[in-house]
Amino acid sequence: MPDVQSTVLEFVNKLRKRKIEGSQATAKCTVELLRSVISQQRVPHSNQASALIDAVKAVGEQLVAANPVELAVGNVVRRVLHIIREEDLSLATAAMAGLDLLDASDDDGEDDNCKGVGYSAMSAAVAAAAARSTLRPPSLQTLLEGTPESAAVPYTSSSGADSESKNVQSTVLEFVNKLRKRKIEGSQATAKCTVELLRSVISQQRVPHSNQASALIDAVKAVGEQLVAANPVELAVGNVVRRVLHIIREEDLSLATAAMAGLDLLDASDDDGEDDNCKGVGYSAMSAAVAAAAARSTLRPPSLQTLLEGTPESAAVPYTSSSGADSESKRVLGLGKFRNCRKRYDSGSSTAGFLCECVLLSYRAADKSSITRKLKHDVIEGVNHLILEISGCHEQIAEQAIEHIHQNEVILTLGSSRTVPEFLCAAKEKKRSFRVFVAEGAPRYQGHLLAKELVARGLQTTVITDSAVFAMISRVNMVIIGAHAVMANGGVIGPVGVNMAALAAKKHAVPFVVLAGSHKLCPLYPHNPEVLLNELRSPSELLDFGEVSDCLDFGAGSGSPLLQVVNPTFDYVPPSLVSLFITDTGGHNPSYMYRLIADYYSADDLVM
Amino acid sequence: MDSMAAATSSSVPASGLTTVSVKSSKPLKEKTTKAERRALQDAQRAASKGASLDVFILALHVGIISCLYCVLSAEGGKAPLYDDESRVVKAKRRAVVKQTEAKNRVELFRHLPQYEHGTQLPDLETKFFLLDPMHPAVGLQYLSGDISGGNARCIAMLQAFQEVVKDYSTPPEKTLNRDLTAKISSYVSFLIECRPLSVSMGNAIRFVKNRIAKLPIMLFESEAKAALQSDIQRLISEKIVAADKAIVRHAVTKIRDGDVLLTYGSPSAVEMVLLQAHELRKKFRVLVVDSLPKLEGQLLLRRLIKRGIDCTYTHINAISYIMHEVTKVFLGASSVLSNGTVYSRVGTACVAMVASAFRVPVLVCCEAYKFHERVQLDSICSNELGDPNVISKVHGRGDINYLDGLTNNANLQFLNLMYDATPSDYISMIITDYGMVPPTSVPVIVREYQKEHLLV
Repeated sequence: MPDVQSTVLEFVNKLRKRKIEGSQATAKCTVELLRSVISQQRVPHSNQASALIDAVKAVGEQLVAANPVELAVGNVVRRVLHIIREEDLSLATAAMAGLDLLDASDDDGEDDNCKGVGYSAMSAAVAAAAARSTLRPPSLQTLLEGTPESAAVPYTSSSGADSESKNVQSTVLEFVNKLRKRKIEGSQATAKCTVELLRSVISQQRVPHSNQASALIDAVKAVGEQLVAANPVELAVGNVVRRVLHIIREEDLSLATAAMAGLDLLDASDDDGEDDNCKGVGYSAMSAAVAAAAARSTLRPPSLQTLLEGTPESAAVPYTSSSGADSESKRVLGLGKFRNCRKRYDSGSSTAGFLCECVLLSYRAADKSSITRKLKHDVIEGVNHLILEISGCHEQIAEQAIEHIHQNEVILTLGSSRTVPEFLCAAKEKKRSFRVFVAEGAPRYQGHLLAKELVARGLQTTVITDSAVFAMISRVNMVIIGAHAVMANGGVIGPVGVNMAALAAKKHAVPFVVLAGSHKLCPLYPHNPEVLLNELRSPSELLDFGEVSDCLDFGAGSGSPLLQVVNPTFDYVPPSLVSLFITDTGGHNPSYMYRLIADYYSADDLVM
Repeated sequence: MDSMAAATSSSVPASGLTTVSVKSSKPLKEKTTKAERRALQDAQRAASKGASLDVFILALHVGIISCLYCVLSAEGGKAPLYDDESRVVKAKRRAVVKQTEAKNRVELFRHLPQYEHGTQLPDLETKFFLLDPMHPAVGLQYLSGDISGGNARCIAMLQAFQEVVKDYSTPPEKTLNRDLTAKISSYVSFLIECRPLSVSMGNAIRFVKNRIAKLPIMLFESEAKAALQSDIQRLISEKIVAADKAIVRHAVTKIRDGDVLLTYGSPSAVEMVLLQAHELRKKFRVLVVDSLPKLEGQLLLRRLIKRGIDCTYTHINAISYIMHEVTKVFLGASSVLSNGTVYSRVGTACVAMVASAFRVPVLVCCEAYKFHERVQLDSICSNELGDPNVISKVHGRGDINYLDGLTNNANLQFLNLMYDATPSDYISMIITDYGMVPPTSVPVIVREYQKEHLLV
């Protein structure tokens, strides 16, 4: 194609001589050039997408090399590549859906209903997973679009999820009230109550025959929204709700993947026996691609590990054909294969037909008896596991104490965390002797409470005033605090005064260690957390009105209040001041927290 | 250290004094100075007498005599080292009043004196009439906390000295110069017992002694007394009152309309600045940050509100929360040391640190007579320990009583530090009567000041 090539060369020259200025103009020219490249590219019959990708990449490399400083060129090229990949995947998914529909109509004609339902429900789930993984970045838009999409799946689902019994609703209301009135304090207690409540919500939720997962998710979300709204500052509630949602999603996906894998294997063996190779190839290649997509979406966070694992999986599909993305041929082959299979089944003579029937029957049986129950059962199992994890996090964290506290250490702590005394006492039980300074934590004096507990357990404790934190920090070997919540950027929300201690520790190069159970890990990134994720308590804790009331008469006429009293509950420590997080899974750097947090949550649930 | 801990904790007021000194005589052998050996002999002689009353009277005498030795080392805010056994013994013997040492002391601060608060006051009052009738009132006021703040304490002390000078008459066969110095020294040691000296007081004492020493021999007593009194008066009016006015004049130029000013505790100089700025009709808001256990900020808050200044009040823990809106931080200082370190009410360092972390300028108001050539790197080596019991009992909050039964638990200690040292990196500017200077210029001022005023 001399025409396109000359255009490319011309543009490359322009870029190299910096004739085009402004990123918008460059981007526009680039994308127009790429359009012409794509339109002029002769595509092979199979594997079209990769041919297009190769062509665009080849041109893109030249362009980028021509002006490496103009990043817009690279961006546009990558965007075009992304568009190609996405279209390819969506074609594959659509083909799969077409197969389903065909299959269903086929079944209807044959009065073979139940077989079709089981299969198509599964493939729909997989398709939805594939679609979700196509729209990879967890943006707000994706989330908003994603929900109706899954709801619009044309299967007889009862999308109404308000079939909770009265009992649960009253429990929810009671808990919401407690949260609103701040009757429950401490993130661990709140997390535990929340997860127990959600468990009862799930167990009492009547699930429809199909689309169970979304019914459960809707129910949990509905309750979760109420809870979060009741106390938006207690991030543990949102965390736990998201974790439960994640559990449901994962269980759902793993069920679907497992079923799919079972089908694949059977299918493959079937094909081999019949010498029906080429037909089998197309179908299984496609289903492998979809399964890989599903698997990728299970391991949602795009980490290096996931990527590395993902590649061999799809490469290891035991078919030599274009496992890439030639959707057109795949579709044809897949359909042909399926008709063929059905025909064979109709004849009823071959063993393969028998096998095929077995697959469908067994799947149906599974669908009827276990899959309905299984999802709910698995989810509740998962939630129980979560409860155990939350209640056991103290011990898990305390076990690591011995690795961090040495003999004759001087430790500063503040706030009233339950984890901190457990941690310190675990070290004390291992015969380490050390001294603890406790800042008293005015105006709530939680430090006094902490000191009392430590003294009761035989630790050498010194109570200091909050103002003496800076004075004492130069003789302290380590600051250990319990967090209220840990944000995804590694920032910590802790008891008021903690930022001061962290700054002082940084100044004196004293390690600042934060203890946090996994229920405190919050997937949100904070914005202005000092103000937005804070709560102001009563001024009377600081100043009796009686003490200043005589002075305030002065301002009565002027209208504007002369005196404000600020009494915040929490403090935010930026990640740069934190040396180490100790969670129940071990010690981590602040920069690693986002990854740790990604393990616990689905990207779809970040915005509730 | 351990033997000393045992010794101090076992010391029961009067008769225990002797047992301590006898017990500890052995390890002392290595490094006793002449004065200490003499003191030891005195103590042993006292022990042989046995009767505790006699011991006490003797101790009193010895104390007055040994003042001559001790005061030179004690002046200038240098606290005696209380981890040295001999010094503890000496300090006790010197003590006019018996002081019970606190039981649960923080190991890190064994070098600082720590007494049971409240045991001193009744005892001091009984001794009140044994001593000079006039001056203990000042000390008692320190002790009960009626006078606090570096300037107030210093002025009270200087006025007491004026009275002393006025009432003084040289005894026969003594010279005014030496006798009056000794007398002043004994008063100073009394004041130290009431509460350790601040740097400002140390500087003032040095000034007074210097004046006495420099008095011409041939002056008549009345002339000398008049000269001394006017010198002391000049110190008060020039170095404290006029200096404050100069500071206010400088600092007010830094306050603009719309400013949000933060101050910590109740620094007198800053209060004057704020009031003056308000009088000049500048529109600003004040954030008063306070801390336990003294809650001095509440007093400042009351005074500011009464004058009609908009205020916000909070505790030091919330400093990060409110620092966003602050445009300038004004702090007071007990002393500025010559490496630029600001030695001030405990918590000042925290405020300055958070302010500098939020990129808010920190301005320290401090009169030049409080500057000292001493250097200090941390808040541990030299400090003052307050009454530890005020920490365990929360003022005005009956519901907070977590630590009620535990005050005698051996595992639990309370630490009530009075001062801390703010590193000079956190301080943008020091406002003194000489103008506004960076903390690096402090040694220059210290030098010039000494040349100009103290050693003339």
